[in-house]
Amino acid sequence: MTPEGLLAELAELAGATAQVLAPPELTGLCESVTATACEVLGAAACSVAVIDEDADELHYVAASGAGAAQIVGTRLALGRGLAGWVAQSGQQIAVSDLGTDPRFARDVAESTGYVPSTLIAVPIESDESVLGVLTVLDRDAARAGAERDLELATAFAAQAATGLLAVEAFRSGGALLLRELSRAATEGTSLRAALAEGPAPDSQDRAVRRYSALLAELRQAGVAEQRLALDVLESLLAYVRTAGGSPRPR
Amino acid sequence: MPVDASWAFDAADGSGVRVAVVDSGVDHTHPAAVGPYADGAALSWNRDERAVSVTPGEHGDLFGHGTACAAIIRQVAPACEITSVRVLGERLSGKGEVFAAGLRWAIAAGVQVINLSLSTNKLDLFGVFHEIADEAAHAGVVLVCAMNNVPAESYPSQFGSVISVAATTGGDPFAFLANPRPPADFGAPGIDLEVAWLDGTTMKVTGNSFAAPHVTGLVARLLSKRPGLTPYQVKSVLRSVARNVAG
Repeated sequence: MTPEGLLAELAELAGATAQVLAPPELTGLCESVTATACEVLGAAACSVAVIDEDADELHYVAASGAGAAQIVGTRLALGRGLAGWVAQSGQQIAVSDLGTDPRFARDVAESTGYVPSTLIAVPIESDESVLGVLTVLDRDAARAGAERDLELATAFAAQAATGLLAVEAFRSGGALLLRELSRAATEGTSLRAALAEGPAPDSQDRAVRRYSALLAELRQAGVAEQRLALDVLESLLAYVRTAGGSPRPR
Repeated sequence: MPVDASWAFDAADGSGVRVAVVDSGVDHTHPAAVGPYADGAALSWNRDERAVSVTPGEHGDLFGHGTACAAIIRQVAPACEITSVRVLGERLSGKGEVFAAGLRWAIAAGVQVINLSLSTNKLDLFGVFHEIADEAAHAGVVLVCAMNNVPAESYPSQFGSVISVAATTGGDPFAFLANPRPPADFGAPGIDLEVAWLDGTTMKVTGNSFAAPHVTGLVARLLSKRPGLTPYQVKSVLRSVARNVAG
């Protein structure tokens, strides 16, 4: 097969895969979190910023309420401001009185287009790292239960984390798929033929469903267990590749 | 003589005790943070060399948080000598390594107490921080760490050899509480506190990271009155004199 033919085949497969595994839309996912947070906390505004580690910046990807239109798309240096501190330290903070700090007001106004009186900023975390920062401006501190708003904001940050991780998982999955497809293409395998010669669709579906169930179960396990599973899988695949056997089940 | 709050803290001011604030830097000119201090170091991640860079000397506070911690420590132990070790900076990459190197720098500098209002949940760093917590304990250095009220992996604050602190209401640092169900060892003021911030200003804030320095101040005060106590003895004394234990 010509390189052009292989590329066309890859594109066709990637398109089909993308339809099956529709990518989660980051902004939409996070906006549902910021809108709900605004509503529940009676806040003037709420935003989600994700960390761009390569650029050393916080990138605001979603917001609701005052200044939302201005803030989305904004990038701020990680080395300054309260959101920067939360991203760096992984600690949460609530500011109930801005006091006399003009620099603080400037930082927040710059990142939100709105000058608040109070603020809550909490880290959006995965099991192992800080992914971003969720910020709530001017919550209604007089309403019943407001003393637990830091915990509530943390719960919303956990929801945002689930969204961010889902997007990341899709991206990693997509990258892995394309890498494997490229490998198959460069090794001269006819992917269409390989798929056509594969096991009957029914049994393949069953296998995929079984993989999915196992992966879902694994997702509930701890980080150490997930790492062990990855190590075992990688070792197995390395063995299969070097053993000279067929990559497809007989 | 009974070990009570009077035995531990009365007529002491932290003098002669060296305390490291491992944080965002300290503005030693802030009115609430003024007091004895020693030159510290600013640490950062060098991407090209893939290694931690250490710059000894003055470095200022990038965010305000380190100054807030230093000022809280001074409320309890005004005469202690504060050394700033800046580990928070411009970037996140290499954060864990910078953080670990900062702690090791402080231990090597010979401080007796380290205030750590940060932690990591990165599994790769579990072993590194465990080793550092042991190094501190064996060197007689008391490590005081902020801890979340919500259960989550957090190193080194969850280790048994450190003193971990979560936020409680109230403003009196001497009225701290012992947690009957660790890993968080103690509860100290961390809600709606007026704290020092950048450029000589103050803010009213809530957070666990403001609870830890209250206990750091108490440890400095205790050590200035009772020098030579080991980290385990310090923890035992604090537990004995906590408001909910001592009554």
